[in-house]
Amino acid sequence: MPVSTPLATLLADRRTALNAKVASARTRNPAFDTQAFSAFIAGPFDQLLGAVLAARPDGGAAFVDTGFDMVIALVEHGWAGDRDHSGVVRRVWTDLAPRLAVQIAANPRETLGALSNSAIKLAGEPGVRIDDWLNRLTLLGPHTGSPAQLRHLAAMAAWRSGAAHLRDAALALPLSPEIASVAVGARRDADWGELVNAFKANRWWTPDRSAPADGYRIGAFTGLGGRFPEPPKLAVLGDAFILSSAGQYFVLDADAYGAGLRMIDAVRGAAATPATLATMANGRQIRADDRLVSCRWPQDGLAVAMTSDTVAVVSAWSHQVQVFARALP
Amino acid sequence: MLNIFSALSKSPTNPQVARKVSTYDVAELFEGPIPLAETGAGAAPALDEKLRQAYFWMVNHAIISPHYDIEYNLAPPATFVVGDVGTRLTLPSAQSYSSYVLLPLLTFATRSKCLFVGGPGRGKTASALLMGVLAGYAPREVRRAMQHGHPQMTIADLLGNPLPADLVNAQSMEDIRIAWRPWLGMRVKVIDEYNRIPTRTQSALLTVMGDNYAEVLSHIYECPDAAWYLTANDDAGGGTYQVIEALRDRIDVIVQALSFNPRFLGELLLRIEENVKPEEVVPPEIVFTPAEIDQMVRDIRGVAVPEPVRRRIEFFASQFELFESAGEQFEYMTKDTARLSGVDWAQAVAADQGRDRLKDLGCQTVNGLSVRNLMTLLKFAKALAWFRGSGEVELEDVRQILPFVLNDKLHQDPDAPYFALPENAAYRADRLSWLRELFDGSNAEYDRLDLDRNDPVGDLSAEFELGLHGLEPREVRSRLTRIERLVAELGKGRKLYGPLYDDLLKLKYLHQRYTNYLLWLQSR
Repeated sequence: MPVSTPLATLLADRRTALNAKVASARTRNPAFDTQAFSAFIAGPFDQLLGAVLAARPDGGAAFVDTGFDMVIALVEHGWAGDRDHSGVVRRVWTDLAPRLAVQIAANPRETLGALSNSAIKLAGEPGVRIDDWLNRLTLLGPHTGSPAQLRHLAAMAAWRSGAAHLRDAALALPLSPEIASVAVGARRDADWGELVNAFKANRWWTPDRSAPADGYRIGAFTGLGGRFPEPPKLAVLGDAFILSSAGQYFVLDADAYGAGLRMIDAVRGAAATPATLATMANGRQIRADDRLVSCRWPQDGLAVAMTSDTVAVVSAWSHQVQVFARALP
Repeated sequence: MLNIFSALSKSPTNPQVARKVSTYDVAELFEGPIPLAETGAGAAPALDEKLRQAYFWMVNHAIISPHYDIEYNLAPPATFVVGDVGTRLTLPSAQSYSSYVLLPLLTFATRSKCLFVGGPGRGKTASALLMGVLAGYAPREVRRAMQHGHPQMTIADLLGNPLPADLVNAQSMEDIRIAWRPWLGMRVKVIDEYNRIPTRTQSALLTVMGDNYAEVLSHIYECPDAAWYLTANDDAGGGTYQVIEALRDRIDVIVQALSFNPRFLGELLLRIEENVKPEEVVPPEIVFTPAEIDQMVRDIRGVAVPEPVRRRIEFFASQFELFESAGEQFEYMTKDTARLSGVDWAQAVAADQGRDRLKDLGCQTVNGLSVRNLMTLLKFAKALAWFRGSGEVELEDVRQILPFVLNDKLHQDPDAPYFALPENAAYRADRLSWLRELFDGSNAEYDRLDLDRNDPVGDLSAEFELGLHGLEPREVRSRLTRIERLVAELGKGRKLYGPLYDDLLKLKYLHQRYTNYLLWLQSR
């Protein structure tokens, strides 16, 4: 496949070493997809090299040396080929990375490698809105000054895009207050300390009051790519929701930005208190503290549980769980 | 050159069942196919994981060793009977290990002493060389520091020379400076073909190995703590010189270089074609700093030995020392007494009657276990457990490591009736299997006696361990009576076997401690 002149020159200079790397990958993994590898090198890799050279004319060699290894790793795991169904890795390299060319030129592995890894991780989280995450990073990433700041932003943006399990970690990240404030939808000059306190006081609070009134529905049948082999059972352990399905246990993380599931061990899960049967207010709604919330499941087999600030509902007729705020801030 | 030789096994190398996933570390977000340096994904692994990575690198790339002779099972293993003789082959159901790689690594991690035995060209020296590289030395440095035994090797060759000018000009011994050999200061010491070193030089080596210092002309060189690797083509006396017993006794584990399986010839060919020398391509990720080695030693020392496991080791060790006909006084009825007196072994054995010589495990050996043997066994059992990622020693760890520690320490009595049975004949040559069989036999007897649940001597010992402080004379007398009653009960109508002998000696000890305490109370 044709490649740009700068890439052709850099590859030619390193021909023996780079060929050995590919040969090594093929020895380790006979199923190594050389076509996918070539396509990625000639496509996203070459495009990004152009951006890197524009940002830093002497950065090409370092980018090729490190980037080549990264592409090999991605191809070995299928993420530069068939396995990347959503195209998320490709989008990181083609849409996001050129905006971060300055940071990537300075340290390709700790920036582009970290973003590629986290994109892969988030693509496996059903509740995460990948487009939001990429957009937020594209907007704010160029303002970060170090690989560590970029990773903090990636984690913050992931939380803001629905990775509720990252909530506590994100609020503790040493990210620049201006960037953190904008990332969560507040003004750039907002007091980040006050924002953190407000977030901690109520998990359904956001600076722009964007929590959905009906909350989130999460979960699906395993046959359709979800986590539950059978309709989940709901329980409460302390201030956390526990869902069980066919002997597997999950913690339900939810807040104003999204909801997600994390598997936990059976011993901890089995200690939870089961949910009680729910009564619908008018055949179509569940009562929260201060309002009625729409529910599309039938009364029969409906179970509800509450924590201090959240309500969760499951149905014997669905593989999903609905979760919403008891009281909207 | 292909860099497959520098590829490390992915962590975790010994995956455990996840116990808890309730907390989330944000570093996990950046774990993925691309290895990073600054996140948790690329951060330095725990030392046990690093040692496992070193193990797998050696097994997969450095030493072509297809012999998995340290077997672990999570479920009953698949067992097959092969051939007319009914030889058994088992396929372990859990991660198992090659002793030829694992034992030297555990020696490295515990700073112990390991002897490689086996025919020429089996990779003994190459393995020792790799250990030096793992400690951070360049291959050339290790090669130069390696001491090669030969019949003309002098103490000066081994330790160092006095400077010639000082020898001429010195007015006193203090004025003579010594040019110490560099290997003395290394943290990995390799002695190649140690059984070719003359006896006198062996004695100098013994001082370095045993006491960690070298002495030349009254000058002392204090050596750092080090892992030792010695090689011998034939440990059974085939060297140029007989190895002095004290030197042999300092060796903690012996590993045998097993034969090369020609099915792996392709890997040898690859090495030739790619011109790969494993010691030249050791990945930096598995090289240990001195501080890391210090920490490993500390971590291993901290591994717990649960009481039930310790009791089985005690029971096993009790089997071998008793030799009833060797002494008249109870304390001297030991094989040590017979050996030190120089009496004819066969005659002494003939006089030893009353025991079932087939059933008594002690009758299979001509000696018992020394304190050093037991300390080494405990140390290596801890090291194996730690290597497997466990915080405490399991019985299987002891079972697997014991043969390598006691090989050349617990000596067979080849005339014992046990070895005359056709099914046991192979144990005369295969000492590792014999030692494992001994331990299994000891455990079977332990189970038969139900000592986990019914151990009156253990109960009395535990009671004593609580301390004497505050005990009233009446309670002390009561305990003395219980001890006497137990001694009478244990001795009544039973043959004297090793464990019973040690139990009775322990009861005598307890009796004496209580007696002394009672006398002290009465004198106040």
